[in-house]
Amino acid sequence: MEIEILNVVGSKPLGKITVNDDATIKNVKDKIHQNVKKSLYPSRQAIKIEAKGKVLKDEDTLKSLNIQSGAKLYLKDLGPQISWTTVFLAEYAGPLFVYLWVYQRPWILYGDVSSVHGTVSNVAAICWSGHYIKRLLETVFVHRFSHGTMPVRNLFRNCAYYWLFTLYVAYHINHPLYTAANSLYFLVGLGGFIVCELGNLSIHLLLKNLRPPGTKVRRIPVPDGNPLSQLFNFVSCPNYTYEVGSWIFFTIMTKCAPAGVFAFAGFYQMAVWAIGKHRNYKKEFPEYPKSRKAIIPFIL
Amino acid sequence: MVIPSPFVYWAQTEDTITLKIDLKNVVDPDLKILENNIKFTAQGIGAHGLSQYEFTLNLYSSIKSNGADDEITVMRVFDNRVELALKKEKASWWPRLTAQPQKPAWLKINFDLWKSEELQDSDEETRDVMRDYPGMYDRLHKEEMGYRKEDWRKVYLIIYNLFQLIGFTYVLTVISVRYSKLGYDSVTDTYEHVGSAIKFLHLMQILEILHPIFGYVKGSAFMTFVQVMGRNFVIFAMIEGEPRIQTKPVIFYLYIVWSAVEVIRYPFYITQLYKKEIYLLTWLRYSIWLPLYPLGVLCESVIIVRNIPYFEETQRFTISLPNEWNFAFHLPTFLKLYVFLVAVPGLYFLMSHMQKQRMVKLKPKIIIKKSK
Repeated sequence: MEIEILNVVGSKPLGKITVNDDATIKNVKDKIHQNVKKSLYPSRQAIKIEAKGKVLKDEDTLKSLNIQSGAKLYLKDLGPQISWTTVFLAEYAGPLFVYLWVYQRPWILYGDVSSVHGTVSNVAAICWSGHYIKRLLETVFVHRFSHGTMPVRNLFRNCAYYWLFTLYVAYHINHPLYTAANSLYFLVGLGGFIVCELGNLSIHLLLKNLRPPGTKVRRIPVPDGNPLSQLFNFVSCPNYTYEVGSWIFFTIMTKCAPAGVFAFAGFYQMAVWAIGKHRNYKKEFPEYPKSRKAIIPFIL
Repeated sequence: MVIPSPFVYWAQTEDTITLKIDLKNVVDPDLKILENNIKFTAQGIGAHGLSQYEFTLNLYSSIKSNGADDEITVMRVFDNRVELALKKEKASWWPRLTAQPQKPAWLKINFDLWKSEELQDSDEETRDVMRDYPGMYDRLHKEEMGYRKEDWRKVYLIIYNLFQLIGFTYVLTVISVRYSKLGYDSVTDTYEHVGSAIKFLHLMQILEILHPIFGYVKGSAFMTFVQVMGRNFVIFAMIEGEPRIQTKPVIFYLYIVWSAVEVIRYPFYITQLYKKEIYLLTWLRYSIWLPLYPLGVLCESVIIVRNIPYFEETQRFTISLPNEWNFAFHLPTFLKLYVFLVAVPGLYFLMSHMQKQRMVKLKPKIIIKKSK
């Protein structure tokens, strides 16, 4: 069948394509890339039935959408795309290197200093590095992404966030005049941090096993054998809950206000994501457990 | 002697006109209908006491005068009123009862029947007829009662905008009067004379951040927050925080630039609330930012940069290590970063936003030339 392709901007006609009757949106995108505009590779395209309508999925068939020959489809250019994996690696490598660089107490930040790091400062460096090494390993070995790519400008925005915040937090903890709090803060903070890191990892592993490899299947997550995954009984996104927990305990361990600011910024962003995910779960699964909240048990 | 007319209350539905004639103890009622015309006479007790009453109405459109049983006019006589139900020839909404726009003094609207229609023999949800004709209820209420209820949001916003307009007009007036009397000597005392007003007005502007949050106005709460907090930062941290800057001429220029923007912005908002456009005001609102925004940012940047050595000296607002929460804030460094990373890109961002709005709002005026 023949489909006419229009740009969402001003409904400008871009061209016509011919596809099989049993074609999917993915086929449509490939055809557009081949025949209409070479620069628009499939991951850069969003196809809609109406200019301001919902974006159609790759797997949808034209038949199921009631699209017949002569119909019009709208195309939105999502801009240059970059894979999630690439973005994650860039944004997590930064904090690792920046923190360890600041740990050396470079002259450009602190002038001429040569004092030795205290225990808390050393442990903080290990915790911070450990957290980001964990994230890098998860990106390579654990995470399965439903959407392969994101717009390139996100790369700069995300990297700026992570790298600049690392600089801000690291500057204070590694400062020659940094003073640690008493051992209660240190022990509670360290213990809590480790538990939350393990919790976060457990949730990531659980979510990985929820989705068979190479698929984009979506299912309701439930606790597995790991006791830390029991948090799923209370929140939709316990990985975010644990992450916020990690940073709160890190702040307690170091008794450093900038780390608190970082924890809060992360909490705000993750709360927004969690609420969105929570809503999507509830919409997608009518049998979704009603007692679950988005990110904070019983509260949010 | 002129036969008086009784009070008549009218209402309508899609296909019926109902008239309620305000007469008690009616005797010998007579109704004549001819297409658009109805004449009613009766003896009864009304505004003029016991008397013969009559009225004639030239109706907006035709009503059915003969036909099937459910299509004839129905007149029901009660103890204290007479009710007429007239079926319209063509089912449609009439903008008024009478053919002529002028309403006779004895004709009133029956508000009791106006709100919604009960469809007794169907399961349909009752439809609020008022929604079909927005503004109709308001207009009729105003015609009948002489006034119209205004909604609180509009009243509050008009008062708020008016308040700001008066405030900034005051600032400009004081500055210009002093300048005309004292010339350039008035410049260094600007903060002393209008500083408090500027501080007060900008603190009140914090309310503007709440307006989009509460849904009183459309727009971005975040953009408003950035704008208001940016100004308040200059006013309270930079100017209030360093007395030596208060007597510099840049303050004079800054206050003028800010006030010039505001005395156009606020009246523009008022015209928007009244849904009336004064094209000159719209044009000014969407053009004056072209010179004034850069000038404003320039003045603010001059103040900030001039303050850096002062703050190095006083160490005001700076927090140094070591301290209990291991938090450091060096204001002079922050200010240097602020000018280059916030103010300049911020200005670019703000101006491109305004330019886009300008393209949309300043539509070309349509000029219709009448040919003889």
